[in-house]
Amino acid sequence: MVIDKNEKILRTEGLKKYFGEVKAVDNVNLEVSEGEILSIIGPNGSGKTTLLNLISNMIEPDSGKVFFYGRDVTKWAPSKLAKMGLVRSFQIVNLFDGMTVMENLKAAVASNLGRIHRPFSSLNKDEEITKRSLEILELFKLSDKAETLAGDVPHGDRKVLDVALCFALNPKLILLDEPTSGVSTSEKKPVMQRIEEAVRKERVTAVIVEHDMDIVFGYSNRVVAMHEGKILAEGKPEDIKENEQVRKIVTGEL
Amino acid sequence: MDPETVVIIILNGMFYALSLFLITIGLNILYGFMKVLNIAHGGLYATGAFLTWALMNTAAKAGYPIYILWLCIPVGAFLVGLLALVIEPLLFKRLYRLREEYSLLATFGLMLVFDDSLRMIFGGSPLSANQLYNWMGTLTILGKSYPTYNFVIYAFAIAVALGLWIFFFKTKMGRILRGTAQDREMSACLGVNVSILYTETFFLAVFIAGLGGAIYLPATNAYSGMGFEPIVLSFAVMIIGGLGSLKGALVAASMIGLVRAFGIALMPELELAVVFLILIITLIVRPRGLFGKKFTREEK
Amino acid sequence: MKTKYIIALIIGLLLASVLPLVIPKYYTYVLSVTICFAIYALGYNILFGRTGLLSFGHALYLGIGAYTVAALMRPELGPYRIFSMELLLLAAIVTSAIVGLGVGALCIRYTRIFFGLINLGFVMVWHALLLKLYHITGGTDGLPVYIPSTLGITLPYETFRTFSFYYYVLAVFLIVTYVMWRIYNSPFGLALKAIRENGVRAEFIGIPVGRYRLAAYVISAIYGGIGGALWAPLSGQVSPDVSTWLTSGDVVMMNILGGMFNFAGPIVGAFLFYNLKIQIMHFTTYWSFILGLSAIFFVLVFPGGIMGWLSTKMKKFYGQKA
Repeated sequence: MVIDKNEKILRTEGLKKYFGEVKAVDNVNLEVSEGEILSIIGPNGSGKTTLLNLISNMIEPDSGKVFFYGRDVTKWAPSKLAKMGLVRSFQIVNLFDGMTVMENLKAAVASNLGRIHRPFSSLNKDEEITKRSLEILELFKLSDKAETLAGDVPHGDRKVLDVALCFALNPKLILLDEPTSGVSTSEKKPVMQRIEEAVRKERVTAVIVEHDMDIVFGYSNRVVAMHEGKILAEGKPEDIKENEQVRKIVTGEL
Repeated sequence: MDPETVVIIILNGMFYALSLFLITIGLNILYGFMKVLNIAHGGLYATGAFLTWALMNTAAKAGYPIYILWLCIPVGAFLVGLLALVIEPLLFKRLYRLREEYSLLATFGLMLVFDDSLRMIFGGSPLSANQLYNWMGTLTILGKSYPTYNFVIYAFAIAVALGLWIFFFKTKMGRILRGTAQDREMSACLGVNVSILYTETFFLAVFIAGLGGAIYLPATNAYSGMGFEPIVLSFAVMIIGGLGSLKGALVAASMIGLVRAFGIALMPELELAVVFLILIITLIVRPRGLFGKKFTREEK
Repeated sequence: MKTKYIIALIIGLLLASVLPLVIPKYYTYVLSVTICFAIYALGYNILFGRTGLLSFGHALYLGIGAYTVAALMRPELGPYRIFSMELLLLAAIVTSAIVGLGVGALCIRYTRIFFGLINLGFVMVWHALLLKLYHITGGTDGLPVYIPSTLGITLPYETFRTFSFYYYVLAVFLIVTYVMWRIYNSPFGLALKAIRENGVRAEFIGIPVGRYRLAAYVISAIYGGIGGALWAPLSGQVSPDVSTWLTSGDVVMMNILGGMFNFAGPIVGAFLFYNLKIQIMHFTTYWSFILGLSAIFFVLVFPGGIMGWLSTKMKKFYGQKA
């Protein structure tokens, strides 16, 4: 795909999704610039995850469009989006539980290298796949779990592996859906640190959805606050933190 | 084909359709509440017929009056229900946690066990208990005679459908059941004993299947292997109608029953194939069945 | 470790080649039929064990392979009759691949019970066609199958089914098993495993799930076709009985029995299943009772099958040693 550097890496146009009466995402126009880390915050049910699902084509929007480097990708299959560099992680861990951590990564790496369709070449003898998978393992500090089944590793590591799978795809834009949800409070910071390090190192653009503001403030360039399917406010983390309306709705403070 | 024949074919089609409907209801209840696809339901249907035969045969030989024979039908069905109280804790409770493939295989295994057990106990030749059927005589429809007993079956199936609808949508027990189907853990938190509730639901589903087998006995036969065709067709009904839909089950069962009846009349060799052609075409046109909900990506 | 495997393989091969010289003729025939089923079960495994799609109608392809062979040998074809086993195999591969592609394209839109039943639908329709189109298929009686030539040589009729064809079947079995082994250990094989484990995530890491499921379906159809094509000359007659929901269920049992997540599982399962069936049917008519009980037993106690159970035992054993 030819990348037009003048275009925004991601842009949504009037994105809309209703579930019956509920306006999950209501006319959202979002722009993401290359290289930034954007956080989307909001209380539960504000439409953050639905927005991510629409962008990644997990579900189809009622109306509106998604542009990736200026190209309309609203109807692209997720596998095609992944090949073009738009990938996502999942709030509820979504792994290949019956495969080892290493196999999980190898599948993603082989897919990224365009070798996943090869039916007769040996996977274990493919040094490039192995090398790249080991790099990712290292990057996310999962090396000691390489041969463990993904279903058997602790929850914190599962969340990290979920994100690591995205990085194995060599993405341009990564959508992270509550990367620390379900992780114990004491573990949240280290998990987020591992992810943040990877984002910086691999120089990818990231959109992070999180309902806990404090987790993401330190890492974001920009924050978008959502409420009832609409964008409530957006700006620098400091400004959003001071925004009365956001504090009232998102953090529940008065 | 003259109109009289067409009417008779339609009546025959509905006659068969309602047996599928009674099995499919049970399948739908089990799938809707426990997410188990029970192939052995065909075996339970057959067991209903065999047990009722044993009761009726004994009663008739002892010279009991005709109302005792009527009583054999619910009693036979109840005995099948008791069987459910044995197999549910022993086998099905272990299946709820497993992958769908495993529960399909285990219940298929159970179906084979049922079928062969019935053959062991009752032998391989067809058994008939047509006292009630003969006692009720025939009606004349458009100049052709038609067994009165079949109308008992029509009325009965409609009563079951209505009764279940009232049970699930108008009673407290039904509401609890539907709530548990939606969110098992929440119901457990609210103090519902899910384990007992499942056993009760299982009893209900099996009882209806047993009742189906029992009420059809006087008009047909009990024979070994009798559960296979209805169970396969009931799965087809379930899918054509949409998983978990009572209305869908009734419409799809009627559709298949009628097609089968016309198939037998017009092209005997293609009978079953036509049913499956309908299944294939329905799934192509409406992937979730006639009254099912649309797929989400997770379910694909 | 590797030399160990090679030694085991050589011993196995030697054993397999000497066996027909020492066992009764009938058992050589049984063994050959078993190998045909092993190919069928192995092919079914890439769909069921590997990709996670449970079909209740895979005997469709067993039938297509067998009937392709029988149809191409029909005397009505005159000078166009084909007797070369290699050409017949090729024809069976082509027909089962074409049918697999068409039927598969429809079926892979569904998973779970939907996939299973729509396949059952197709085998039922095919079975009905075999009965109905009797001027082509011979109806209930089916079609006779003659002795084919193998590698251009027509072997003597007397020992064909009980001796010589065994080696041919064995050779084909070794080739297709090796090919399957390569597929299972390739990136493509990993992709299928990923689809089995989590179809949604597989799509999101860039695997076009639908197309890969179709590929797995076609491969398993071809293996079914090969199994059927080799079985036809052994049986000497093909009839609609080869493609029923029962023969479709058999292959599922073979996989469960042997272990569906183990490469050797379906092969071991086919051997055990077919031979147990013959033995048990000798002394009781209640074969399906025993089959049913063992299905329940395996699901509840050994969900990994015999090979799954053995391999965890082996791992434990070697683990303690090291």
